Amino acid sequence: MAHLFLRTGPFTVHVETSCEEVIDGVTLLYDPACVLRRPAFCDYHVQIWQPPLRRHFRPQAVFLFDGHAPFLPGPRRHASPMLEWGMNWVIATTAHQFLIVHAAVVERNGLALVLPAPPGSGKSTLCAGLVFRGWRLLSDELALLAPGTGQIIPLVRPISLKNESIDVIRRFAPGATIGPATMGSTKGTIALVKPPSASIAAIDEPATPRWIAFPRFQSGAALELTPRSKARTFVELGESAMNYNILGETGFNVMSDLIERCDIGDFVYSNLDEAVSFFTRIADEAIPFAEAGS
Amino acid sequence: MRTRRFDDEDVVLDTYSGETHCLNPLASAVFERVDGMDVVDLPSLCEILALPGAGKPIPDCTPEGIAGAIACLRDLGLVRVEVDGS
Repeated sequence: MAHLFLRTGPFTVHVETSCEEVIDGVTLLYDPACVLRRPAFCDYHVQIWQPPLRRHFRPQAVFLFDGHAPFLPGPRRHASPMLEWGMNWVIATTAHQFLIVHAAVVERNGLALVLPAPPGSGKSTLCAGLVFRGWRLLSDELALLAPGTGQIIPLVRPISLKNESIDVIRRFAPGATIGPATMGSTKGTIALVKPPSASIAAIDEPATPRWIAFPRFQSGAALELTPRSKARTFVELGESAMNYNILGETGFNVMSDLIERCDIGDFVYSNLDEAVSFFTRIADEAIPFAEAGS
Repeated sequence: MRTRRFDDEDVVLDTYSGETHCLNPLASAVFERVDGMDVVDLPSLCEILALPGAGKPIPDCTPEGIAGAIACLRDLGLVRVEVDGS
């Protein structure tokens, strides 16, 4: 059994595993600065375990959290992404010191762009595009909002790309470290991307939310940013947040502050270069969404 | 009940049920005026909401629209006001 201690931002996760896929995945996709030697305290203890009867015939792996398996076993070739999915689940279901919104978050000039969207919308592609053009990665999947300050706390882990977006990012950022493509998951083919080292170096620096854009990749569409109702966005984000209802008034206050301080819009794009340049110009020239248009 | 206004729309947290509601401009304007009341005079409320100078004109601000907004707010459990007059 190997014991890995991963620092992901506010959490240290102890991973116990016998799966080479997980060890290889961590070695490839985690910066050495995030792989700790026996820390004094770990927030979470997880295992990726191989059921003994399925080591050779269609080998399987199972994710365990504190000894319990929240999911059914999956093919062992999914073990590395399974660790990421499992960690998402563990954090989303337990880290109620934060309001957790299902969104990618990137930062530039100290200000954060929040990208909430359902799977398949092009959220992770846009997130990866931005971080390989000078934006800082805070999270690919879970936005951690701190009550009190309203700031977003980095949760820097590999970016999960799906299907066509894997080749898009291979072409867009040839220097990026991308793990092996894992086929046959419920989401299709998955590949994990190592976060840039600049994002790792700033893993303790929170960012102030400034923009919320709901991205939608649409082949052949002209780039367009349409401002949207703040009140409607509040309710939609609350519904897709992991723990808004659990937090009650605290969740309401944190969400209110997030909505209050952000420009909000629906964003349609078909060209990643164009989309990245668009948001970079907005950030560098402090252009309000209402004036950014297309 | 906790309320936050964004532009001309309200978001209301019902602290009893835990539900959060988004109110459109008309429902927000009605909610602002009838919250806490037991009875409201519909013609007077229509007159007040139609007054110019209270910001942007409110869409669907007709007696039918206002009565509908009150009914909707009652259904959501946000107000308990009864409508008086027609």
